[in-house]
Amino acid sequence: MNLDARTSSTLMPALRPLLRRLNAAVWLEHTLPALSVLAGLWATLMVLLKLLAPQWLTAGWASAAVTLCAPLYGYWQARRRGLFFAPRDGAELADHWFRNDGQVSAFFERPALYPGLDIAAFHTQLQQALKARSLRLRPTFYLRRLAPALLYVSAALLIPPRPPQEDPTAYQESTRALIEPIVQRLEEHKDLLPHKRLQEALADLHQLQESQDRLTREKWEALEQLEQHVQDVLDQSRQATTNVAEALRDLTSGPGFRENPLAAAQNPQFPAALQDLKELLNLSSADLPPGVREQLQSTLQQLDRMCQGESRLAGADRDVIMQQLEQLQEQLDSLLQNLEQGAGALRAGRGGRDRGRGDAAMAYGQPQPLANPQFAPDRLENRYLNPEDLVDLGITLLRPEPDPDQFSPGTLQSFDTQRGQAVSRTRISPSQREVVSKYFSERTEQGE
Amino acid sequence: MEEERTNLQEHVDGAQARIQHLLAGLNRVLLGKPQLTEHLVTGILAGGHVLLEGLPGIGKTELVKGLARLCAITYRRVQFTPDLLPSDITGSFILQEEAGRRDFAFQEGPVFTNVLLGDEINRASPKTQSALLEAMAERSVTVLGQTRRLPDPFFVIATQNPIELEGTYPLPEAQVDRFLFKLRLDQPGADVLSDIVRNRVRGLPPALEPVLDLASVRELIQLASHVYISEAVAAYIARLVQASHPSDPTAPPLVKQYVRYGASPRAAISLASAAQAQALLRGRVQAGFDSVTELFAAVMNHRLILDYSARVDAVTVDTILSAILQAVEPTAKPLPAGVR
Repeated sequence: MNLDARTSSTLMPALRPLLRRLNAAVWLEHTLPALSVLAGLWATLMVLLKLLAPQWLTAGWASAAVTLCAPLYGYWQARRRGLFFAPRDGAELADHWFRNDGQVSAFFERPALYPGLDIAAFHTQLQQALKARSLRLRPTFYLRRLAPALLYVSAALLIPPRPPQEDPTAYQESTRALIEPIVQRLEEHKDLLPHKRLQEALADLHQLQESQDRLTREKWEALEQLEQHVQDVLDQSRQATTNVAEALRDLTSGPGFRENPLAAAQNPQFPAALQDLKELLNLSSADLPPGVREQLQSTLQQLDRMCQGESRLAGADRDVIMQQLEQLQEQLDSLLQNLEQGAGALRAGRGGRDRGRGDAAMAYGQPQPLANPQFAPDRLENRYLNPEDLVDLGITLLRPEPDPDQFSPGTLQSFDTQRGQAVSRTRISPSQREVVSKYFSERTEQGE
Repeated sequence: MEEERTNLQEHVDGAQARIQHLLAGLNRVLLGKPQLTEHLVTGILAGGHVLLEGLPGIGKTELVKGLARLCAITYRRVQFTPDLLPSDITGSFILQEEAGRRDFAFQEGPVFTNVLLGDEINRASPKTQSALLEAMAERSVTVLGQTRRLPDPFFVIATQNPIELEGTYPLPEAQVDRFLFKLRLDQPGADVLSDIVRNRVRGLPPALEPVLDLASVRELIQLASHVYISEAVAAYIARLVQASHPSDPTAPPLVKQYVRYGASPRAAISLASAAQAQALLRGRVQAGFDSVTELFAAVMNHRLILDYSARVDAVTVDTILSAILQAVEPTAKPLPAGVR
């Protein structure tokens, strides 16, 4: 039975708007659940990507295109289940809304039954009846059905992506960059530092080095504290050594001590000076380098015996004592020199807690000769100011326009005329200051 | 045939005028029951049998007599009693002597008529009741192996009394199913009763003149069968009948709970025929959804077999039929939820 063959097309103009709305509603009814499911799955995927693999988020956004399958699925489902309204179904529906007497259906199927029917009037009546019952799609209905999915998707999109996981070795590298100078310094002065304090400091540094956490403020401060502690220990050691060396120098530089130490020891002031030296040794024994302390104690015992006028001290022994005293004095001088070098080890921009970090005021330490290999001139290509690259800006009341090619991005230009003269300053980053400082100190030394 | 279709509307228009005369006459016989008389005429036009149920004295017999008189067709009445025999209805062979020769001759029973009024049909024994089965279904009777056609048209209009059930035999389901309608005659209202008292002389029926004849009745029945039933209406009938079965997924909860057996396909055919007849009665060339809805209860109320629990819970057939009408969508495809 071919319905189309006996379908009346005369009713179609009246039925078409009705069918269009009905079929749109059917399509939406089957599309929205699929759309909700797909949107929900996509949102879940996005949440998982944000939490587990943020680097795949771009692909996740692209996968939103899957939701476009929902309209196709809805159409396929409705068509497969035969839910779309055919013209015949529309005629049936119009029949109910018109007079419910079967005339529209019968006319649709067999127009020949109504040879005398006034088609125009019939159409008019039918259209009026359909207009009175005209169907409208309800946006709120569809929004309500879509609302859970929309809320879920919105919530999923609002979840921030997890920050990319940082490489723990990078933390260790950055920590190592801070720790290594301290370790190096400890290694340099391991003979000067008390053994126990050296071991404690190395253990603390090792613990910090092995930690896989990021470089936290606490860790940074601990390192600075440790560095400060090392510096304090070195300072104390230097101070103790200086005191001991001066006391020893005072003791042995007395009149006639070098010619006849035994006679000099009989001087009534010598025991008191020796006693002062002993007390000084006792007080600062913890701060002295380990080898110096034992040697100094041994020498003091011999001086003490000499002071008591023991006859066992022969001429050869006196020579030995004098030799030991000279060695000790030399050792102390050398030690002091090393400690002085250590005291000047503070670097630019590493001013410690009190002076802040970064662009804090620079401490250059003690003046050093230019022959020091640390200060060997080093030409840095294309990064720092070179003499040949300098441009004379002159004095102007106008703000100078710096050539961006001549200044590194780390420089900061300032210009003011408050004091009656134009001043153009260029502040440079701390990492560049040391180089600039070295450059100008070298020029100063050369009298330029 | 095409010409017949072309002229169908004219034929229907002409038929409607005659039917209106018939209805007017019947409404003079049975006062205050226009819907019942319309249903009765619908049943006649559909060529179906009608079961009238009502208390004594309501006017059942007078209604049938009036119908026969107005249609000018033969009418016979059988009072069903427990001792009534099948041969009393169908007829039997009797020994006759003609010209000295004895022979068995068939003596037609009262069933050989156009309208058979079976008064209090539930008082006859099942054997006698079943004698009507063939007559009602096939419009023929078979006696001693000989089948005889009944007059055309042939209607059985039976009455039964809903009270005094003692000594009665409920009609077998097969026979009940052969009745197109089961119509209930209720007690008339006070105003109608007042009209009856004023206008009706005791024992005398109203004077009626035939408005139709046998040929006209046949023509009307024929014409009713030509009334067009669209596929949408046919599908609606099918859905309604299908929903009366408790095992059907579209059946409403009341049907699933209280109905043991739903309506048969014959019920669907009967409903379609009745809708066609009512369309003719209303001057239409097509059966409508409204007719199906309106006649649904009359066609179905004697075809559903209810569970015992329905009686326990006082659930009537009418309640269930209303539930079916409400549950079944008039359109094949329900409206999408997103439109208004």
